[in-house]
This record gives sequence, structure tokens and C-alpha cells, in this order.
Amino acid sequence: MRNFCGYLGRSLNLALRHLGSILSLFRQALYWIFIAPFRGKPVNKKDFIGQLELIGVKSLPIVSFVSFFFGITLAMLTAYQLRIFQSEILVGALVGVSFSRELGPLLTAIVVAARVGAAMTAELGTMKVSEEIDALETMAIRPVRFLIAPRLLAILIMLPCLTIIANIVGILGGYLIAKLSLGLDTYYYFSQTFKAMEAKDLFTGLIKSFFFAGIIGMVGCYQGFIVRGGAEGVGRATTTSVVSSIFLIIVTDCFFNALFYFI
Amino acid sequence: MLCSILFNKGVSDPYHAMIIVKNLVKSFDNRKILDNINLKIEKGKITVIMGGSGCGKSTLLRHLIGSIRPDSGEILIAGEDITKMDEDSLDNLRKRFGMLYQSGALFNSMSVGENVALPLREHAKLDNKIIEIIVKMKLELVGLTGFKDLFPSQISGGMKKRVALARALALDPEVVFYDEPGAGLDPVTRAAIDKLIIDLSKKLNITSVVVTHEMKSAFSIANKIAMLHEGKIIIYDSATEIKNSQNEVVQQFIAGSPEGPLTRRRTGKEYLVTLTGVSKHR
Repeated sequence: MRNFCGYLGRSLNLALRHLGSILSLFRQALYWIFIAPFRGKPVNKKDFIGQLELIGVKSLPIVSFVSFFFGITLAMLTAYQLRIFQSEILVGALVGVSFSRELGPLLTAIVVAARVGAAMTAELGTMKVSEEIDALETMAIRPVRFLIAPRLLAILIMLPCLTIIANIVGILGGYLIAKLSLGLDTYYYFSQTFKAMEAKDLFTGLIKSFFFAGIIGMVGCYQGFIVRGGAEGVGRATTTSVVSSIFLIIVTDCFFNALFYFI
Repeated sequence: MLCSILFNKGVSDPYHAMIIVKNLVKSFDNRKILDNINLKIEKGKITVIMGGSGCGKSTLLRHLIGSIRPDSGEILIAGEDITKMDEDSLDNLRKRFGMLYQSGALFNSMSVGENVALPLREHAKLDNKIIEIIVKMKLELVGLTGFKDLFPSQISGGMKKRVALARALALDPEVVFYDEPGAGLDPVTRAAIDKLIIDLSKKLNITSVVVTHEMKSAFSIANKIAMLHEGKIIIYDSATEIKNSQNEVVQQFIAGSPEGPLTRRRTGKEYLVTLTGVSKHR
């Protein structure tokens, strides 16, 4: 028991120290994104555009596929339950609200964390191991401005955009089942969907995706910056990055759901 | 007489020294890595810091470039104490020196030309055409004219070091630090890099600080050599004096002998202390 408490205390201490370091790095990144450009030190444009492409354009197919198939699955699951009450008509409403409030932001964030967060850690970790980050410092170029700021800004812009697309594709997936399996009318499906969805649903989903973007960007970059021990260290950091991002995303999602439920 | 004392290049007076290290101490996990280091690096000269693996030479170099803050002591570069500087002042000073890393540390996502142009684009507000001309000049200086469009993955290890050197020279630095410049290179390429270091020092009057454990390179390029052993500078003199030194550690290092004070075996008592962790035994 004593050993267990000791282990718990040490783990908590370590987690809090990491959290403190991430928040400090986040504060610096925000300075380089929102304040420094007005003082003549803009974000690294080339890297920023590259990251927009990597996070947004290249993640689009996988995010769309996952959302589409999840939309189908959700429609089938809800139709199965609603059939008991002969209310299959509500499938569109359920899929629409579920996606805009919960599944769109969450699924997109998890897919992007696995794809982009891991890539960020691996790329920055390799740069750390090959002394490229040290080289930036000696050239009087702040690594946070040069490497973290463009990545964070790109993901803050792109994740909400991907979430909107995921919502649309998910609803289309649900429509496929509604049309082919349940025989619902196209107009009826979409009118039910939009009638049930409120602006608040979409808005809360986007707020969440904005926070998820911050988590993926900061955890991905932070884990890359603290890599030690060559290729093995990069591999370890990449795994840690993905696992911690997904864990934090789910915890944050739970927190926001509770918040939106009670207010 | 007075003039000869004042301007004698052998005398490391503060007016002639580019870098002065005073009573530098650094410990990691209660282990002293640098133990009261004192060093004066002369302007326009090549100073080699050598020593065995783990003796603290890379840690000393990282202190000189401001990457690590010491526990105590001072490091004066061009008269300014970098240990007490904030990050902005340190950045301003860093623009005046260049650093060649052991691996070259080139950015793999950028071409050779873009790598060399990076410090210029970041710090010198120059027109693109002028930057291109400077890049060509720097690449020519290291003998790599016409390679600017290649990527680091397309060039050899020796060429990478040359590109990294061209990048270090981009802002016309007063001091260039070299971390193991010959590591991982064949003898001919290593000799070519050594020659380049000498040429640059002479032509551009650059103060060079080279960290290495390769004796041949050290003796061929150094005006002065400092030898580190167990975190202390045990000798700091010209290459000739180092060769003639009677110090057993220095002689073992030069000869590359497996037997000697550097590889001293522990006594029975010391071994017991290592095993038990108790310093007093009956």
C-alpha cells in the first residue's frame, strides 16, 4: 500500500511537472503567434503553409472516411433501437446532433492526434536528436517561434475546419442508411436533421475542437522537444505523445460535456 | 619593454582575450562536471579544447555558447558576461558567433542554399538577390560552389560539415565554435576540414574554439591547446609545449596508451567502496 501511494505520488508529481512545462511552452507559443508578429517577428511562413497542408489537406481523406463509416454505424445502431418505438424517422436528428456536439470533434481530434501529433513529435524529436534545435538556438533563432508557433497556429485553424467537414460527412453517412435501408425521403431526412440541430450544438463542438487542437499541437511539440536518447527516444516520445493526447482529449471532452450539460 | 609585455601574444591579457572563463563550476546530479575552470581564449587564434570522453569538454563548449548556465563563475565573450544575460541579449551576442555541430545539424527539409541563407533571412534585412550572392560567396569559401540546390541527404558527410561551416560563417562571425569537426570523416576529408579551419582563421581573423579528441587534428591546427581531465584544465599551452609536457595524463592521451593515469585501476579499498557505498571499512 505504501509502495503504491509512493508510486502514485511520484507519477502525479511527474505529470504536474510535465503539465507545467507544457503550459509554459504554450504561453511562449501564444506570444510568438499573437504578439510577436506585430513587433516585426512573424511566424515562419513556409513551415506554416506546409503544416496547413499536412494537417488540413492530407488529413482530409482519413477524417472523411472515418466520419462517413461512423455515420453509417451510428444510423444503423439508432435505427435498430428506434424501430422498437417505430420512430426511425428520428435517425437523421440523432446522427446530426451526435456528430455536431460530440462525434465530429472527438473523432477528428483522435484521428489527427494519431496522424499529425505523432508526426510532429517524430519530426521535432529527430531534429532534437540531430542537434538541429540546438543549432537554431545558436543562430539566435528561437525554436518556439520557428518550429512550435507555425504548427500550433496551423492546427488551431485546421482542426475546427476538419471538424465541420467530419460533421457533414458523418450526416451523409447516416443519410445513406436512412435512404437505402430505412427508405426515408431525402428532404425529410435533412429537414429532421437540421430541425433537431441548434446553433449551440455546432458551436460547442467547435469550441471543443479548438481546445483539442491546442492539446494535440502542444503535446506533440513538447514531446518532440524533450526527446532524449536517439532513435529509441524518438519512438518512445511518439508513443507517449499519441497516448497522452488521446487521454487528454477524452478528459477535456468529458469536462466540456459536463460544463455544457449544467449551464 | 612595456610594449613587448603589453603586446606579447603569448600573454593572455584581458585586452587580447576574446573569451575569458573565470572559476566556472557546473554539476549534474551532485557530480562535478566542470570544476573551477579558468581559461583565456585569444582573439584571432585557434584554441583547441581536448580531453577524453566524458571529461567535460562538450559541457564547457555548451557553456561558451550560452546553452547551459553554470552553477557559478563567469564567461566573458568580447567583454560581456553571458552567464548573467537575459535571452534577448544572449541572442544579440549569438549573432556575432557561429557554431559547427558534430553532425553538421543541417535542416533536412531545406536545400544547401536555404540552410546557409537561414541566418541571413532571419537577422539581416537584405534583398533576396543580395542573400543569394552572399550564399554563393560563403559556399565558395568552403569549396562548394554549385551545390546550393542539393539537399543534405544528397551530399556526403564531409560536404555536410562544409555546408554547416558556410552557414556558421553566414553572418561574418567574430568567433566560430567547432564541436568535433573531424568526427566520422575519413583522414583525407578530416585534413581538408582542418585546413579550412586554419585558412578561415587566417583570412578572416576569426577566433576559433575547437573541441576535439583527435590528436593529429589538434596539433595541426591549434595555436593553443587546453586539456581537460576530470572537469579541470590540467594544461593550457602551445602545441609544442603540450608535446613536451611531462604530465603523465597528457603523455598517455598523446600516445593513446591503454595503461596510465587516465585508465588507472582501482585499489582494493576503492573497489570495496564502489561495491558497498561505505567510505570507511575496518
